[in-house]
Order: sequence, then C-alpha cells, then structure tokens
Amino acid sequence: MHVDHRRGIHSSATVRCRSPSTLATITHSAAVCRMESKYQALGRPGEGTVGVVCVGDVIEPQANDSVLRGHGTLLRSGSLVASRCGRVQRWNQLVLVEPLAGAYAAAVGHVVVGRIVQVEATRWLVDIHATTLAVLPLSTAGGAVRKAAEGAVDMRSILVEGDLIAAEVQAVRSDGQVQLHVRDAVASKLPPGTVVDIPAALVRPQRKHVHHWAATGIKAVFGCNGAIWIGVDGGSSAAVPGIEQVQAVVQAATAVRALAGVGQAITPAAVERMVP
Amino acid sequence: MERADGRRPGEIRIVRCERGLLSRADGSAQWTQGGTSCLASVAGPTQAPTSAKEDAERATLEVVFKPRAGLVGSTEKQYEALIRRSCEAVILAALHPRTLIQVVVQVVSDDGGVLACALNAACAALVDAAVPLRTLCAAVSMAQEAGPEGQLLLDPSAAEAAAAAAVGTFAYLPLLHSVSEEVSAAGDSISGGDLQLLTSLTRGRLTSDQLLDMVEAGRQGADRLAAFMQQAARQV
Repeated sequence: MHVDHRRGIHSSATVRCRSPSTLATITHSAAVCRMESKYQALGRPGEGTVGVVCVGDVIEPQANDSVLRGHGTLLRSGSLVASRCGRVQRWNQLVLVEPLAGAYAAAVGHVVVGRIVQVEATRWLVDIHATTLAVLPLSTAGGAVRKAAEGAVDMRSILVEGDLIAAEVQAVRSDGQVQLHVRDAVASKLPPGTVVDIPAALVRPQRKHVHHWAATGIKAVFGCNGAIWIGVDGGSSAAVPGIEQVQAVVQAATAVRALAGVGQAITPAAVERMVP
Repeated sequence: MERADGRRPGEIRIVRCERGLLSRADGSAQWTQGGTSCLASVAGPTQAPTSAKEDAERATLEVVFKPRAGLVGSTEKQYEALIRRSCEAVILAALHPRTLIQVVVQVVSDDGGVLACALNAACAALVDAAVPLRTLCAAVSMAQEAGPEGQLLLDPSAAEAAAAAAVGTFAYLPLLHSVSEEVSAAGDSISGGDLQLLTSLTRGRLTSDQLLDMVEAGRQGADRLAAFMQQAARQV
C-alpha cells in the first residue's frame, strides 16, 4: 500500500478494475473499527481527525459560516452531512469528502489521454473517461487555426473518430463540461501504442507527464484521467513498430498494470524503476 | 403465533450485502434478505446518448428491472417506475447535468419482498458507484395476516405474503430525523412527516388503522436496514 503524505493513502481495495467483492453481515462491526483505525494510523500528521464517513453521516453538528462546504457535503438543518462515502478532508475552513471511488474529475492543467468520438463542424468531442465528453474546439487546437484562416478547414483531415490524443484541460465549466487544448492538433495525435486504463486516483498531476525510453525508442504519456498511453516515440501513425519496440511497450504496460494492482501511484519515476 | 421459520413478527430475515461484484460496472451490489436476492448495477453518470434523454439541468435516471424468469411485464414496468422515482428523490441529480445514470436490477432469487430487496440493492449500488446522494433509502415489505387475530409481519416470505390479507412495500429515508429539511446543495428540498415515507405499494384490504400501523412498524425496520447499509458501505 503506497502512502502519499500529501494526499493520504491510496487503498488498493477501491480500484475499479479489480475490486474484490466485500461481504458484510450484520455482525461485522469489528471490521469497521479495524478500517477506521487503519485510516487514522496512516493519516497526515498535524491535520485534524481523519474520519471515514458514509452517506448521511453528520460531519459537523453545527456548521456555521466559518465552515466552507466542499464537494460531497450537504447542509441539513444547520449541520454538515456527507453525501458520498469517503474520507473527510479538512483544509483550514474547507470541509470536503474525498470519495473512495468515482469517475475522473477534471481540473484545469491536467494532462489527459483521450479518444475522439465525434467530429463536429468546429470542434471534436473526446472521451476522457469522465462523466461527460470533453470538447476540443478548433480555435484552441494550435496549428489548425492557421489553416482555418486560409479557408474552410476539413476537420477530418486533422483528427477523426478513434484517434488518440494527449491534451491539457483548459477549462471546466460550471455544468461540468471540460474544455481541452493542444499545441498542435495534428502533432497531438498519438502514434501506434497501447492504452492502459487504471483508476484516475492513482495518477496525480505532476511536473512531467511524458517519459522517454531512449534505448528502445518508446514513450509513455501519463494521463491524469487514468489512461496511460505507451507507444512508439516520434513515429507517424502509419509506421509499423518493430518487434523490440512492441516488446518494450508490452513490458512497460505490464509494469503499469502491476503497480496499479497494488495501489501504487503511477509516476514516470515509479515506472522507470520497474522498466529501466 | 409463531412464524414458519421461527422469527418474531418484527424480525427481518438475515441480511447480506456484497459490493463491488461486477468489474465493468461503476457500482454494483447484491442485497439478500433470507431467500430473496437482487443484484443491482449502476453505470454512470455518463454522457447521455441522445438529446432526447439529456436534461440540461440534472442527471437522467434510467431503471431496468429484470425478473428471475419470464418476460418483462406490467408488474416489472411498475417496479421500474417506483425504483426510478425513489432513486430520483435521493440522488443529487443537479450536480451532474446532461448525464445519464443507468440502474439495472436483476432478481436472483425470489422468496417474498422482491421490490423492497430491489430498492435496497439499487441504493447500495448507487453508494458503491459514488453517486452523490442526499441520504440513504431503505425499503421493507410488510404483511397483515388475515382474520381478527392477524398479526403484522415484517419482511414476509413468499408463503406468508400469499396467505396474508394485505401486503405492502414501503421505502423510507431513515436518516432524516427532522420534520422539515433545509435546502440542500442542489437547491431541492425534502419535506415529510416524522416517518419520512418515500414510496409505498400496497395490495389487499386494510383498515386505515392497520395501514398506519404498517407504516410505523416498517419505519423501525427501515432504520435497522439503513444502519446496516451504512456499515456495509464503510467496508472497503
């Protein structure tokens, strides 16, 4: 179990791709105490109580104006109640419930790996494993803007359905719609490779999201939405990768899946340790 | 008068809740009460596939109820509508506009009280999928025995329900204790009596006193079930 002192532990039991079935009978109160004490032992030093709450639990009996309500909380009859199961996080006056599982929640600045699912007149719709499709407008897709100025641009000549792209989240609207942007739409299309889907909670925003392996000529992009793309470095989409490159890609993908299976946070450094 | 399986009139059958059974669903739960078992799976919130189903202000909920055997008929459609309206009351749908939440309930075995079991399984699956909820919803089934000496039975088996004068399924919001509620983060409000009765489906003949007794006794059973559901939700 990996302990990240910035954000608490990542529990392997909550991964979506391999969640064990949990059996609870009416006499299982001992297990509840065990789990709550486990969270407390690994809680961040210096913070308030690390509590696991369930839907309907009262977090703060008297929530006056000094308490800021964050995600996962409700105000009911003057007290703060949880609307999700998870851990209570207290940051100064902000109280929120971090869910133990859930879809990817985009934030500005995240690098994501997504697949084009729809081509529209002035934008592409991208599947980034969030609750709604993300939007990549033509205006923010760098190189295409110059082409558009010359005349009508054929969206399909740049990106079609099924293409994989690496993009950065530019904005998240109030209704949850995610807007992406890329430096160059044509160059953002990822060459042949494989995508490993892991829980989004295991990939935190970090300084470097791309890792190159010079020896074998492969590259990995770590998307904060839990999609890790590993593939040929610098090849065009039509190039056929050699057998050593395919083996290296499979090796790196297996390493990522193994790390995700034990709940380890996926960073370029962690994968580098396993696949030098 | 003792019940066939030795239970007291106000005793629920052994309850089991397994979560996280289905690897490709966002949330899943199997809820078992005695011989009745239902498996519920939740997919979503995901992008609504067509604009007809899309609501610009809130999430749309779709429920499919599948019986253990046979084709889907009008009873199943009625159950679907009841489960959908009950779940819509607890889901904070305004937090996920333009999305679709799909709940599929499959009856694994049926020994009475299948609608209550299905409602509990759906709620546990929504908790497992981390869909934001106002509170938990717990459902119980009750039976009023025939005759002047007839007792009120909580969580009847199929045989007890068939021999009863009336049966009812009641869904409550057990964790709300006050009479009127504040507006929640989503801007909606729930108000209800002390019993917080959300849904009821009854069949048979009852006096009004018997019906009120049924609803009150059911609330106590729902409190116990909600406490168990919370305990099951804490098991990671």
